[in-house]
This record gives sequence, structure tokens and C-alpha cells, in this order.
Amino acid sequence: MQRGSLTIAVPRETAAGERRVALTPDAVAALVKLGLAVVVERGAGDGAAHADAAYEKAGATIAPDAAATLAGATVVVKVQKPTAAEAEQLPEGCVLIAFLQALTSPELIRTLAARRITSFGMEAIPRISRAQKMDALSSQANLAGYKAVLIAAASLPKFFPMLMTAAGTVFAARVLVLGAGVAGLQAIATARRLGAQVWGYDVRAAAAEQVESLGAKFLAFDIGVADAEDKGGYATALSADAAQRQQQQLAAKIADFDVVVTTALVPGRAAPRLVPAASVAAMRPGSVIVDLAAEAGGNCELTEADETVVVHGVTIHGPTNLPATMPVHASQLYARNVTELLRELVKDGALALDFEDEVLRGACITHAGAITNQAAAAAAGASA
Amino acid sequence: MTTDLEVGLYIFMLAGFLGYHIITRVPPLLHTPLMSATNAIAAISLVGSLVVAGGDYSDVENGWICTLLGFIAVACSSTNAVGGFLITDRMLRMFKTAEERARGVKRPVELQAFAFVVALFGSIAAILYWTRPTDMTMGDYLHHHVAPEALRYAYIASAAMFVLGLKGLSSPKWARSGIALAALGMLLAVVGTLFHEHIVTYTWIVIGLAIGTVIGAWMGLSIPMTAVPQRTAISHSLGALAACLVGVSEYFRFQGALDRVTLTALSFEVVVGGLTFTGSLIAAAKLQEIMQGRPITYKGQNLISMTLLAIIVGSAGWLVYTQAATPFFYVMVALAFVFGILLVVPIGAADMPVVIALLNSYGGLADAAMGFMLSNKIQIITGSLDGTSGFLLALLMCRAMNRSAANVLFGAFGSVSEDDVAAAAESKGTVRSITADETAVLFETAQNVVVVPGYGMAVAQAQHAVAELGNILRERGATVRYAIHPVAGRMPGHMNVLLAEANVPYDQLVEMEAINPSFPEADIVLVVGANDVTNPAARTNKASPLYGMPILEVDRAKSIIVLKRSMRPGFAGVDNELYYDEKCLMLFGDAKDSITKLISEMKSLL
Repeated sequence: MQRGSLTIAVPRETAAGERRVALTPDAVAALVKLGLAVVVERGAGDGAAHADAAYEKAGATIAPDAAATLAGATVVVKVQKPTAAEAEQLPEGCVLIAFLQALTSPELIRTLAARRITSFGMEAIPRISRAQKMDALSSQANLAGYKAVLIAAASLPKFFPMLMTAAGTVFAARVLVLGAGVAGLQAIATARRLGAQVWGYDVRAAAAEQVESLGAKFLAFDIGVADAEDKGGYATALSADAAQRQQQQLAAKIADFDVVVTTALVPGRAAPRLVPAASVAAMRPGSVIVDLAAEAGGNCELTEADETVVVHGVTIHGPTNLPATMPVHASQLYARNVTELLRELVKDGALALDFEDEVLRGACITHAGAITNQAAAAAAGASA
Repeated sequence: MTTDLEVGLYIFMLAGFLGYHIITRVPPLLHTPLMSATNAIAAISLVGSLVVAGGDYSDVENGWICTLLGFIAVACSSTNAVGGFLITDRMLRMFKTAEERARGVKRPVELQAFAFVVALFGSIAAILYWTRPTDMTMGDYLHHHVAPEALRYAYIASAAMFVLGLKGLSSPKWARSGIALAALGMLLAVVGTLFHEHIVTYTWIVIGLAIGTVIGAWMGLSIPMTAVPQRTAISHSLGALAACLVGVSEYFRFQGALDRVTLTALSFEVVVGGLTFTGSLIAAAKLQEIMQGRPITYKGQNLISMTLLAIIVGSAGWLVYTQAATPFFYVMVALAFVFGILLVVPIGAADMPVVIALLNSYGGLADAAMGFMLSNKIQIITGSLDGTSGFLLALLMCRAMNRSAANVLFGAFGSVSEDDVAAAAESKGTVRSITADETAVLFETAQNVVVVPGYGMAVAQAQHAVAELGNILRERGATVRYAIHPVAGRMPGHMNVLLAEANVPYDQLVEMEAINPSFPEADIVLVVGANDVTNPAARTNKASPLYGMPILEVDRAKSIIVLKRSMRPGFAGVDNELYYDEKCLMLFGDAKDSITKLISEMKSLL
């Protein structure tokens, strides 16, 4: 390879329903300006409304297929984790950047380690102020929270806002958002802007202030736990006892709402069961649940991933990849996250991996044949 | 005499209250010009000096000593006056309004007008001088033609000008006109004094004034702005020296044969004037770093200082009691000089501004005492204004530094412990706080405002208040932009959601990269509950957890006002060094309350 010509490969996403692309033409142009070469697989940007011509104009080379794209690549950037077959296709020793879901895909992680691939999981970027520009979980969750409310509004057989008209008064929809992370907060903001009455709930003590900072109300009840937040700002799992108390009290309140959007996730674990079947049964017919934790098993007992089910007259949505339904902005934001990470990896047109750096060390899953991320190593080891 | 004393005391008291109320309205931003301005006004000791320098001492043995002392006093106090007003004006020129900037006014109109007035008076004086009959002295000639009442009315007019001048300092908009007015008042008082019935000869007055004007003008115009505190201190020591010399001259003239009231005033004047003279010199030396800045302490310091003070007070009392002519009077003056040195030497450089304000106050009191001695009302008024304002300023500064007044006052007597010194060296500086009404005053002249919203705005739900403030500023013709940091708040787009709710148009929202280059042009950056995203440590301090994070470079703006609930650190848990920036003022409280108050203050200022 020529000196300084570090090549970044953007293969087409193959997962079902995935319409995002890891780099947009704008991002490609920025990288080309840094002196990097970019190879984009034909049609990679189609889903996100970016034609091959736009990539070529931005300075990328278009490759006819995945094999040609990956050949000679130093860095491979993707949105979704590679399938087993794709992982085998990656050039040995290359750098891979994608949502690797390292804690739940041990097989893949072992393969990557065996192939001496340096992999960075976008989901593992540390949650520190400096790394926020690379925080793809946030950028994508933001889209998901917004879309979840739109889905709820579209399938709710009611208005969101309150309207006093000559034909009578319509009361505002009551929306409950469980989990006040990025997706939850954006869901709260969006539901508020559509005119609903909005409540938020989270086990983290700081969340009350954040919910109220968006003008919503915090649903407060006592579960006997002061705070359940780890130092990265994510929720920790509750004890069985506290979880049971929480479930009972929540279950009693859920019936009051027209819309429940659930976003509660604990990293690396099954999603907490916040909405049991009994609660769904108690809700008014026509109510809507949008479960953003469907992929991790769902916050609602009756959720089916990627399905919409109607039980007791309550519509339950279980979308697993909402960002892919807004591929233009989702790709724009993800591409920016990836570009910022690349800026950390590349110095003067060559790879310079500084593992002293907190961000790189945190995001790195495998390197030089080893699984460097402790949690991922534990997950991969446990299932080996 | 008794009634005169009573009237004097009433005037002293009322002027003190007036000074207190005027000074409390002056925003911290204008404290330095205020100090310089009161210092210039303290040069009213010039009025007394003129009388002494031009007096008739033909019946006094060695009367030339009185004239000499008066001459030195005139030179010193006119230096103080000219330099003081010039430097204050230079300082205030920095608070130009956008209108003036647009017109590109370089030479201030006030100065031109002032020069014209001086020239006018000068030519009238010259004409009078040449037309006088040869057999008359100038003094007799003037007293023949001008009634003594003219002087008193001139004093009343100048007293009003001083008060209005200080009042002008409560807003950057009026500050320069105010100072010009005060300078005019000073000129009027001086010219009026030239008609004083005790003045018979003008030779030494003219020479003294010329020397003082030249030195004062040189000081006022050539000294770099960074050396302003030293200059204030030096000019101040000259004013105090003048007061002291006038007192000495009077004592010499009457050899102690004065009534007890006058003697009390005289003793007070020479002692306070003397200690202010040396104290200010030491302060200037410390500020100029001729002397080491840190406090110099020694064992038994308190004891020595207090003993000295007791001796001085005791001897003053004895002098007043005996009403005798004794050389011991001059020993007392010398002791006052020594005491001034002991007073300031143990104080650290960081406390110097407080000390200068305090010395300013002493200087004012010495002036007032001179007024009592010479039965001169304008000096009582000015001295009282100056005394209270200096003292109040010192208190305000203590509060701004989070030090108790007692600490600083008794710190002056050497109670600064080693721990305090170490702590002062360690601390990053002081945080200046501001109130809503003071903030409103600052916004009056701001033409380019950038609002930096943060999580604090969200928590306080202050978005509607912020938007209303922006609308008001826009209506007044200011440019208002909202600088949105990409990670402001706790959710991506948090600020957008809130500002959209408050109907802030999208075109007023500016991204970080787009706004950063324009911060240096911003008159005021209003930080509404944003913290980490404005922390300059992200740019400068490699040890900071924020290092490398792009920030809104608000520290490059001309002034920064931070709305914050408390000094608690932000999300990243680190202290924000922005708050210790000397351009930064903190408006503590709930963001919504603060802005609501600010808006109502701004409306009331209209």
C-alpha cells in the first residue's frame, strides 16, 4: 500500500430492514480531505437516499461488490455488526467499526479476535463529555425516541392535544414514558410538542430533574431504592425485591395512560419487565404501547420483536430498529459519530492507535488476537 | 462658630448618606472607574491649598514657610485633580456605546468642551491681570469687583455637579458625561476659590497649578491602563499630602492659638492625611512590584501598631487640650507618616484594591476635616461623599471576595495568618457576583449579545423568559444570537426543543463552530445554566477530564454574565475556571427568577 493512503471501506448493510449507511457523502468528503481513501460498495447509500454518484463526487471509489470493497481495506466501517460470513471476509488485521453488540454476540467477538481484527464497538464508547460526539447510541436513540411517539400517535385512535370545540371537548392524551435515557427524553419532548400530557419514569434519581427539564411530570413512587445509576449514567439492575415492588406500583398506574412508551434497558442484560400482561389487560382498549426494548426481550411481557400485536384491544408495537426508518438523518448522525472516532484513530493519514486514550480503550473490543474488553471477554468466555 | 460647626456636621452627615445611596447603585463593572473618580474628586483639597498658598502672611514670623507649604500642596493636589479626571475618562472611554463607535468619535466632546472652558477662564484671568490698576494687588482688585457671595454660589453649584457626576457612574451610558460634569465642578470650585477673600497673591498659585497640571496630564495620558491602580494610589498620596501640609501650615501660622474645635479638625486632618500619604505610597510600591507584594509580617506587629496609634491619638488630644504651640506637633505628624507605613506593609497584594479604597475613604475624611478647619462647605461635602463612598466600596469589594469586612479591616492591623496567605495563593482568584438590577444596567449598552443556554435553563424551565429577554434586546436594536453547544443539556437537541417551544426563530440559533469566531465581538455573553460546555479548561488544561472537548469560547467575549444556581460543578464534576475570569460576573439564583427580575429591571430603566 502507498504511504499515507489508508483505505476506509464502506460495505453495503445486509441486515433485513437496515437502510442506514455508515458514511454519508459529506462524511466521505471530510475523510478524503484528511488524506484518506474511501471505498464504497455499489448501492451502499441507496437506502439512505445517497446515490453512488454522490459518493464518487465526494471522492470515494465505488466497488462492485463486498469482496472488492473489503480487499485492501485498513478500516471497515459498518452500522450493523457483520454476520459470521462477513466476519470471515474481513481482511486479517484490519480495523472494524460497527455496532458490535459485543455483550450479546460472543461468537462474533471470538471470530474477530481469532482473525486479529481490531474492533471498536460503537455501543461501547464511554459516556464522558469529550466522547459525546462519537456517542452513536445516543444519536440513534434520539431518533428512536422521536419515531416511537410518532408511531404511538399514528396508531392511537385519539388526538394527542386537548381541544375545546363546538362539537365538544377532547381531552389530551396521557402519555407515560418509562426510562428517561436519551430515547425516553426525546420521546417525552416529542409527545409534549404534539400536545399530550406527559409523565416520565426512571429508577435513576437524577432522571426526575431531567424529565421536568422538558416540561413533563415525573411519576414518583417509592420502591425502597435510593438510586440505581452506575458511574457512566446508565441504569443498574434492581434487586429482585425492589424490582417486584416497582412492578406492582407501576402496574397499578399504567392503566391510567393512553400511550406507554418503554425505553428501559440495562446494558448487557435482558430488558426489565415493567409492563406485565395484567397491566396491559387493565388498560383502556385503544391504548398503545411502543416497546423500544423489544430486541432485548421487551419491557412489556406481551411484546413481540418486530411485530405489532393487539391484546385486550391494546396495540403493542415492538420495533427493533427504528433509526433505520429514518435513514437520512440516522446515517448523517451515525456518519458523524464514526468520523469523529476515525479522527481519534488516524494521525497524519496513518493509523495511530493510542490505547492510553480512555475513549479508544473503552470502545475497543478485540485487538491483536485478544478480547480486550473485559465485559465482552466475560460474555464470550461464559458461552464458550 | 458653634452654629457653623453644627451646620458643617449636618452637611457632613447628609452628604454621607447621599454618597452611600449613590454608590450602592454603581455596578461592580464600574468600581474601578468609581475609585479613580472619587480619588479625583478628593483633590478638592486643592481648594484649601489655594487659600493657603495665596494667603497674606506679612504679619507672621517666617510666613514664607506657610506659602511654601501651600505651594507644594497646590502642586500636589492639582496633579491629583488633573491626573484623576483624565485617567477616569480614559477608563470610561472603554465603555463606548455602539452609537459612538459607529460615529467613530475619537476625541471626546467633553474634553474639547473642557479645554475650551479652561482657555476661556485663562484669557479672562489674563485680561483682568493686564487691566488692573498698577497700585493695587491682584487680590484687592478682584475683591473690589466680585462680591464674596459669588464664591459661595460657585461652591453650591460645584457640590451639585459632584453629586450628579457620581450619580452618572451608576450606568456606563452616563458615566463619561458624569465625570466631565464632576471635572467642571472642580474647575468651578477652583476658579471660585481664586476670589477667596484671604487670597492676596497669585504667583505661587499659578506656578503650583502649572506644575500640577503638567505632571497630572502626563500621568493621566501616558500611564498604561494596567498601571491604573498604582497611579490612583500615587495621585491619592499626593492629595493626602496636600491635606496634611495645609494643616501643618495653618498650625504654623497660628502657633496653636486656635479654638479647640478647629484644633481637633486640624489634628485629625494632619494625622489622617499623613498616614494616607505614606500608606498610599507603600500601596503603590507594592502594586508596581517595587516592594514585594506578599504581606510582610513580624512578631508583635499588632502591639507596635496599636501602641503607635495610641501615642498619636493621645498627643492629638493633649494638643487640643493645651492649645499650645509645641514642636511636639511635628513629631505627631512624623508618627502619622510612620503609622501609614505600618498600616499597609502587612497587607497582601490581593487585598490592595480594598486598601486603596479604604485609603481613599481616609483621604476624604481628611478633606472633610480640612473643610471644618477652614469652614469650607464644599470640602465638607466632598470629603464626606468621598469618605463614605471609599468605605462602602471597600466593603463591597470585601463581599465580592468572600471576605468579611472585619477580616480586611483588622487584616490591616496584621492579623493575616500564614494559612490565609497560603490559601490566597492557592485559590484561583475571586468570583464576582452581580445582582439583576446591575445586570440590567450592563445590558443597556450591549449591542451584540450571545445567549448560551444549558441544562440549567431546562431545569428552571426558563426558556420563555430567555426568549422574552432576547425579544426585548432585539427591539432595542441589539443583535441577539443563541449559541447551541452540541452536547448542551441531557438529551441531543435538548436546547432546540425548549427554544422552539418558546418560539425562538431557528435562524437565531447558531452552531458552535459558526459562533466561536464571533465571540470576541460579543459585548455580553449571557450563560444561562451552561457549565462544562463553556469551561476554558477544555482548551488549556491537559489534566482536565474535559480536555480536548470543543467548547463555546465564551471567555473570549468582552464580558460574560453567568446565571447559575450555585458554584456546584457541572455534569463532568469539574470546577469551571471561567467563573474566576475577571470579565465574568455571576448572577446567582434560579435562572427563571433571575431573568424575570432582569426583564422587569430593564423595563423600569426605560
